[in-house]
Amino acid sequence: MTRYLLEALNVSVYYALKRGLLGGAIYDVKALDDVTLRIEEGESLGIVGESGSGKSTLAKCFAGLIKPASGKIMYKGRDIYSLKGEDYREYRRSVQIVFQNPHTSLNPMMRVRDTLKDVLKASGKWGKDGERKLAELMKAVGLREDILNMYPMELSGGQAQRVAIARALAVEPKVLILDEPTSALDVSVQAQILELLKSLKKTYGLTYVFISHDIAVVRYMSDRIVVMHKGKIVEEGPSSDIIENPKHEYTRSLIRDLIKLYAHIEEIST
Amino acid sequence: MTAPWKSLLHFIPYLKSDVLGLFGLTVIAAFILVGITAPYIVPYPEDAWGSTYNVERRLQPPSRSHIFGTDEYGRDVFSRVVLASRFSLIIAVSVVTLSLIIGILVGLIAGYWGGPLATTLMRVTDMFLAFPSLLLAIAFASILGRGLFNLIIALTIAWWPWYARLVYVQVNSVKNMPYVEAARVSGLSSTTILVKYILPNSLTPATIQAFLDMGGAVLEAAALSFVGVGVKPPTPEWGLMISEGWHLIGTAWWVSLFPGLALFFTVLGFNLLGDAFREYSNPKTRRLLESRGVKL
Repeated sequence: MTRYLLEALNVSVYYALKRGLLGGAIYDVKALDDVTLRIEEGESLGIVGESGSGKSTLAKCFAGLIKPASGKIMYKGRDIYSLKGEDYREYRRSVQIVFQNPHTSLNPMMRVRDTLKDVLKASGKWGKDGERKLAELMKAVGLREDILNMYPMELSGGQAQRVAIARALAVEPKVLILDEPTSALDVSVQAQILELLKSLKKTYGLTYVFISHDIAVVRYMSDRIVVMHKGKIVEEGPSSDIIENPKHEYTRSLIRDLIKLYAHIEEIST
Repeated sequence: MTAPWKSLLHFIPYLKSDVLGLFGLTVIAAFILVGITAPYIVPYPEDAWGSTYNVERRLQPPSRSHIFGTDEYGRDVFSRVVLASRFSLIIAVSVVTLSLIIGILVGLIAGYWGGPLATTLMRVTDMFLAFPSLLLAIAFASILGRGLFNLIIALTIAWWPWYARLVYVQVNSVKNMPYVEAARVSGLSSTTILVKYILPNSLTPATIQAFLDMGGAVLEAAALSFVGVGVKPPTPEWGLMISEGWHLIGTAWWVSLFPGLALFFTVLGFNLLGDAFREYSNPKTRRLLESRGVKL
């Protein structure tokens, strides 16, 4: 038994740019190039990188949505593609994902209640006390109960993201993969969602994989940071080390830009 | 606000703000009503299938007793035009519904499972699309032989690929939506995802197209009967009636003209209604109307 909850071992993923007559890939682009990353139970890991750096692809690999071309994704030391029956269902429940755009991550044709109900049913958690569970979930993410009767298009971005978080929590997961969960939201709402996520982590003892292009947000959310660039991990270490003493040129440029931005903001506000 | 699919029910109230659509609906409603009650309201119901052959009243111009005149066999044109409406409606509705069902099944299977199966299914679809649909329908109708049922089959064979294509494209984009990925991560079964997540979100373009195609189906059915591969005479059918009166157009214009007008108005009605439905399905239009205080 390893002490790691989730691992990516030498994972590579290619995307086909062009397909042949019979569907075979002709040209490939490397989204992930031999990436190895280990996640410990209870930690908050931040992944930072620009768009196209492969961070979302890595998130989808962990969530079992993309099968790597080579390498392995391990859950509790076992390859997730070799898991069967109850073992697979345990992995499926344990690793949940929250996407960037909350509106496209909810089925527009279903009320919030039905979305959550289906998830509870699928994980065998729907019973006589189902309604009470729904109420608890809404309370946990700070939403009024009447939101249950609404359709996604009636919700604000912040509300929709809270519903998406509630759906992830419904199956009582161990790991939440947060793929830019605040990037599509207003700045004031972003802060509220980050606070919510922090308190949920404490309440439920969750493990977080927090992905963002914003190194400040990642710093705020994580104990450990991984910097990705062009499908590779270029730097890895405790948050404070990465911020105060960046080794890789790419990390330095990220932080330089951030310092410039803050200086600029200060200039404007004074 | 209600469920997006339930908003289909709001199409009729919407028509209050769309004059042409309302006209289309009125025409189609009238044709449906006439189609259903036809045998009870026409003056000469026995003329429909031409069992009576009246030499003494053949080719009479429109008059008080025969308002659309009579044809070569002395049959009342008005009675036949009215009775024919039910066949045109049956053909249009059956062809479009059957094509839509086949199209949805093929598009859904190919779009969802992908791989060699999808490639094969969509290449077959492309093969059908490579022919002009009318030509394909004529070819199949001649192979199958004349008759109402065969006509429906022939037209359906020519029509389903259009819907398959539309559904396929939509399924392909919907299946990669984050809500489908989220559903998979939540552990929902493939069946649930297919039925509750992918299917309802993939139907809009094909449904709109089906609405728009109703008029076309009426027209193609008439065209097939006109060239002699559609329904069997003496079935009262507009295309057949036009073709029967065609060689008399100089002397007895009424034999072809009235079925032609009936065809024209039905197609016009379906097209206007289809256009209105397309407008209605456009979220921009609905938002605009809602902002103007129109309650939907």
